[in-house]
Amino acid sequence: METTGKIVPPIINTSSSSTTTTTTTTSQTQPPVTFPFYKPDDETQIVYLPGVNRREGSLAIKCCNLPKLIEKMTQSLNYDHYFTSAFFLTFRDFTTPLEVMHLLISRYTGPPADSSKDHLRLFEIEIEIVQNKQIIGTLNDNDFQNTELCNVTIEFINSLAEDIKNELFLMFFRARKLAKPPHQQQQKVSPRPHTTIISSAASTMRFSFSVSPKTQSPNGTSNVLTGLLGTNGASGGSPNSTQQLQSSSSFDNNFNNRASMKVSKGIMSKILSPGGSTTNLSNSSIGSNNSNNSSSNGSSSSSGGSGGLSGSHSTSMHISSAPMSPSHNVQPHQQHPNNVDDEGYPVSNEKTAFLPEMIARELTVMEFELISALTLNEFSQKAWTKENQAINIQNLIVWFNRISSWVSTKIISKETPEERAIIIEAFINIANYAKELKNYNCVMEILGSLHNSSISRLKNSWALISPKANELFSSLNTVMSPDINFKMYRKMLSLVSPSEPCIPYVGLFLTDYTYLDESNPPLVNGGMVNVERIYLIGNRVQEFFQLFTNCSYNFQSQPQVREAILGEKVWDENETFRLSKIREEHNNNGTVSPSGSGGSSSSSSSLSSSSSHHHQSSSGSNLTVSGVSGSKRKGFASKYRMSFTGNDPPPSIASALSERDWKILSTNAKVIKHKKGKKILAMGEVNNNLYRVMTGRVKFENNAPEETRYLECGDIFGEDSFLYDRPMLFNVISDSDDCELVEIEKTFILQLFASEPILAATYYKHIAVLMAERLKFVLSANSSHESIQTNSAIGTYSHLGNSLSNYGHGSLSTSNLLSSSNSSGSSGGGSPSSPNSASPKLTSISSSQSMSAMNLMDNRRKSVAIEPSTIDILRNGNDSRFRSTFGLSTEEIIIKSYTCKHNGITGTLYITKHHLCFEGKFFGIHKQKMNPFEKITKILPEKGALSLTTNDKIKKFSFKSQEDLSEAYGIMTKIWKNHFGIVRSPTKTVSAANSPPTPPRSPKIGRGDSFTGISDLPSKEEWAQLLKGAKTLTFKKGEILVTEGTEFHKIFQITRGECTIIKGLNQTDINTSANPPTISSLSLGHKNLTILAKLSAGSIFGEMNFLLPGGSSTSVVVNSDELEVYTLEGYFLNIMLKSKPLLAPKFYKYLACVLESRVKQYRQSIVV
Amino acid sequence: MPLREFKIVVLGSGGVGKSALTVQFVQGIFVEKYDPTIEDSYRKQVEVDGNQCMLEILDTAGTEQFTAMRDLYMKNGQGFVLVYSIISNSTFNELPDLREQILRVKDCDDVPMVLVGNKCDLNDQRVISNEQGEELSRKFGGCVFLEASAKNKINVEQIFYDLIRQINRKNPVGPSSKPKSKCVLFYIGAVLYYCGLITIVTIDYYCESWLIEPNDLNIIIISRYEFLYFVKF
Repeated sequence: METTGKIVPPIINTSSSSTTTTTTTTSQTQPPVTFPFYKPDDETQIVYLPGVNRREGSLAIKCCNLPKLIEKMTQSLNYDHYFTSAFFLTFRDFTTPLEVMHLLISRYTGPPADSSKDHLRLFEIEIEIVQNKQIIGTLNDNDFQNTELCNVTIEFINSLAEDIKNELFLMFFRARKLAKPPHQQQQKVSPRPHTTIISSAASTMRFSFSVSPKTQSPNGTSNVLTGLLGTNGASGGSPNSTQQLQSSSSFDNNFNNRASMKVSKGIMSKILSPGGSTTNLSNSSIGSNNSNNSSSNGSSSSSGGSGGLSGSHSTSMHISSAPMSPSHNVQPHQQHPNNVDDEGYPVSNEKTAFLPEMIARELTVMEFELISALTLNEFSQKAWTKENQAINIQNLIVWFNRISSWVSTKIISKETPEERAIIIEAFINIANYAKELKNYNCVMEILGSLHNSSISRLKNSWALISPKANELFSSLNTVMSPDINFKMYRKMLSLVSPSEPCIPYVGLFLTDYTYLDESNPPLVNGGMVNVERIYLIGNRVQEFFQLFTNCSYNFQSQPQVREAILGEKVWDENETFRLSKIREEHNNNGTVSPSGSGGSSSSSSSLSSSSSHHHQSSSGSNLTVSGVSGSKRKGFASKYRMSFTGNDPPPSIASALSERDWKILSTNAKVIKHKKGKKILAMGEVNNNLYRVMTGRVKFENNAPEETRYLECGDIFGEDSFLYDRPMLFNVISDSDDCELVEIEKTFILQLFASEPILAATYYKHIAVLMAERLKFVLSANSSHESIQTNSAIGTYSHLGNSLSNYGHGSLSTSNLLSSSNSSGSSGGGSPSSPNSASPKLTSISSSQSMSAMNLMDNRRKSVAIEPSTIDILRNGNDSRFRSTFGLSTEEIIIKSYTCKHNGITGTLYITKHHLCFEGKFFGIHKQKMNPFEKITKILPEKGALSLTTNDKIKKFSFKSQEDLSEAYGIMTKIWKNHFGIVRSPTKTVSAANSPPTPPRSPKIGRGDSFTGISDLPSKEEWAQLLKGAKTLTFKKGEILVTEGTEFHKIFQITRGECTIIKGLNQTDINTSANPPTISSLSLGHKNLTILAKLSAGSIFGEMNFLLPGGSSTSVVVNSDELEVYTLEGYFLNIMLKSKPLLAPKFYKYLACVLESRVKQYRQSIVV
Repeated sequence: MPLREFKIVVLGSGGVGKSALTVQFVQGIFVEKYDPTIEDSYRKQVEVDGNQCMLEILDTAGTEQFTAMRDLYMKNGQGFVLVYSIISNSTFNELPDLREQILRVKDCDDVPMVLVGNKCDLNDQRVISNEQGEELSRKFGGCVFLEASAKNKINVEQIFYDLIRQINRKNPVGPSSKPKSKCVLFYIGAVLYYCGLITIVTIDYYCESWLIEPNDLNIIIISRYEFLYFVKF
């Protein structure tokens, strides 16, 4: 920023040749020929302030030219350490390091002033040495590019006495090593914002307040210096670093700063790690630092004799300091008395409750570590406003914003105004404790959040805040108010006693510094250094630093609290605001009962509200404040404690149907009892019911005996009829005499869903989860076999994969869910509160189901391993090949195929949903026939053959066996009848196509996840609503979006470009150094790589991870030159869906459809 | 009549010259020494259209990266100066988001605001044309647009004067005076929940002014007659 009257540009590019140094200052670009010092104090040299005693030293000077300033600074009289520090903080605004170096050297080597007494001259020399050290401390990477500066410095150091020489050399090379080689820096230019944290290490050196020269100089003046040393020692943030400070030799200040930087980095990497994508960044930043170090190591050892020594020395230091993460300097865990609450409730391990006081303390301890790491150099030329500089200030800023977002996240993640009010009160109390601890930075963080529009707009929540908390809040606001230039806050800070530790609000200091820096011209009076400016800046900086360097907090860090705070997810500002909107809409829909509402809402009879209540209680565990309920709530701070359970999933719709849900579903249901052997559903039939096995066993079979499946108590089947009207692929036969089924009509369920959206959502989510499990199974089953064998084996499996295998998974997943709900107690299916004797029954179910699940798994494995019969290969002769032969759409799948003769040609007859196709070969003549069912007017069984009448032509197909014929006849007639039936008229497809369910912003290119013919999918508007919360990300070719095995909770939708889903990606294939990791080459021939599918615009992925726990089962790699995706955060979806009961079932249904179709695709892609 | 106070927040990316504008306006003259830590550093008394006003400027300079503090700063202000630098594209492109945030915080579409293209003295390095600025101001609902230079003292005072006029237009009485309490009809026997205190209201007429202390709070009233009110005073 330009300031009026500034003559010299503030940033002098020191890397450019020093001869370009600006002219107005006494130009010293060449080694000074004339000795510039000891000129008389006249108007051309120095201007004093009127009315100030000149003995005040620098305070009395208004401005002077540079040599005069150096002269005054190095005089033993009025030596002002703080002023000197301020000078080195600001000198780059008006001169170059080279010039100062020259001046300092000539001052050191030149004759003493006439006025100087001998013993004072000794001290002056000490001061000059100190200043030489200081200037070395400020050198940055650019300076080390300046060979002249380096040479001059080295030459000078060589001329010094032995002990000082070594000391300075060491400093010089260490500073140089810490500075980044510029070519590395250019490589580091990365589009990701977080790399700003990586800064040139040189700038972190605290050169002034930690400078601790070994002066054995006479007189009391050394007290200042030793005093400073003491201060510095006490200021170390953590016990370890303090020790290190004291144990390391005193001039090692740059190393100490390195160590303290490490400490803060430890916290920062923790802060950043939960943010998903940022993890890699922080890792890579450390990695790159290492590489920088090693490379610069080489350069330094080549340039100077002692460089090698210092290099190795420092490297070992680096290693030793590396494990000094916060967890190490934390004392062994001690049970804090507060961990047991007053009423004697033991604090459980899983959900630890913390008092606001404890949180305030831990925040303070952590913030103190961060602020203690600050060094003066970072403020020079407002380095924090530039990228990749001032790492410690950047850390503080990142921290500040993160804690603030954390507060908002905590509040927003609560579902009811009552809960939110409790959290808000808790944070008001935390802020108040922080204020008592004089951690004003923390107070500001919390106030920043509470005043954030996402939080302050929650009027209903604020209305429930107790008067006492309200009072506290307004008093905090008054104290921290920006009014009248933070009058109250500044006053309060000035009253902080030097013996108390304090963490000031960093933002205000930065504003002050900006104004001091920009509004005071560095040069005045035609080129004189504005000494007043240096003085003002020095004063303010000293004021700021002494608040936290004089003494430190003597709390023990509490590892659990720390982990709990750092481990939690944080939503960004836009996300919180969106959720806040949902919360408020939510509030307005339901009437908010202002009094203690515990009883009234639970007594409401509506299903949706009661089931939502149930979910609420199961999901609201993210942060709970115990011991408080509704009207009994008192305004006492100690009553609120927060519990953290790490990354709990945010509230979402239950993913399995509870017994209670089933009771509702089956109100109108028929209970059917079957004897053994009774056919319930026949192959080819279109099922319109949902079945649930109550007792006994049901067999699913088709022609292939290895595909026979059994369903037992609690399993459901027919649920896929809610997605597609597809004919059955299996015969369903009761397998025991006591077989009892509940049959629920689809139409009834759909009616029910219309009035019970939450039930619908749960149901569809249930189906979606089943589909996801199935897909996962397909993937895992496929991956365990290889090449040709896999193909045929998958072929076998694929046939059952189509429509009915999902009920098999039904049992699988239900048992999984049941067991998981038993173990974790999370929102599972079992509701022990349900009035009937469900609980004992449930356990029996779960055990029997796990058995059946095991059976199923075994069966699957067997079926995969079994050598397929020729008919299987023919029949499964991959749907896609079949489709391409006949030019059919992907919707068409082979229901059944038979070997039969037509016009004397032996071939295969395929039955699909809409067509009857025949393919045969006769002496090399390829015969293909395709008949749409609509055109068939008559189907008649004859002896050994079926005759079809189309367009008055009769076609005959003779079958091998009578069984085949009757089965084929059964299937064909059912399909045929359906085509003339009323239920599924083709117009439905057309009407649905009018409002395509694809998201509105996605172009329909290629194979998008669009489904025509299925009703109740999200509408355009609803997609818009969902996508409002989406972020757009772009990736380049070869970048890996999702790595196999990683956990994430997002749904992506491609808007532009293509990507590939890959199975079997090894760590070795991944180029982890890049960020995001890239794959070096997309070699399809790689033996372990299986490309499952290509996704293009409109497709979604990530839905499996959204529905199922555990890591991703596949990797997703960008395949086109550029890929653009929308990213929907899982928690956002969950909350959004929870609060929009009408949208949720549609969305889950959509997911189920996507998954269902994907199962097919993956199967095909492997086969092909 | 007491001096009316105007709180103005200056926003914009780092390095656009916010502080220079502020200092130029507050100090009026070129200074060699400016201490930003004293009370009056950002206050100035001016006369606009015959009325004496006290201007207090809250500048976010130096804290641009403290995104968590923006809302708090914005809440504090009545009028906003959005500053970009005519020699920097990025500073220009960040303004729409800032404006959105202001509207969000103020929960209102009509917020007194002035768009400023600073550093217009550096015309030879210009990358944002005057027309682009005009266009953005149109997008901002026709807010006032000025190109200014703190260095050459171009349009500096106009920015703040215009903002004061805008605030005056929007809020003629002044925000410092208490807004009138609304009249609310309570039914006999209405129970007032107010900060946990229960008051039974036994009035059956329009209250002329129902003063609730302290300041702006929601109160929730339940009457026995199936009426539920949320009243904001």
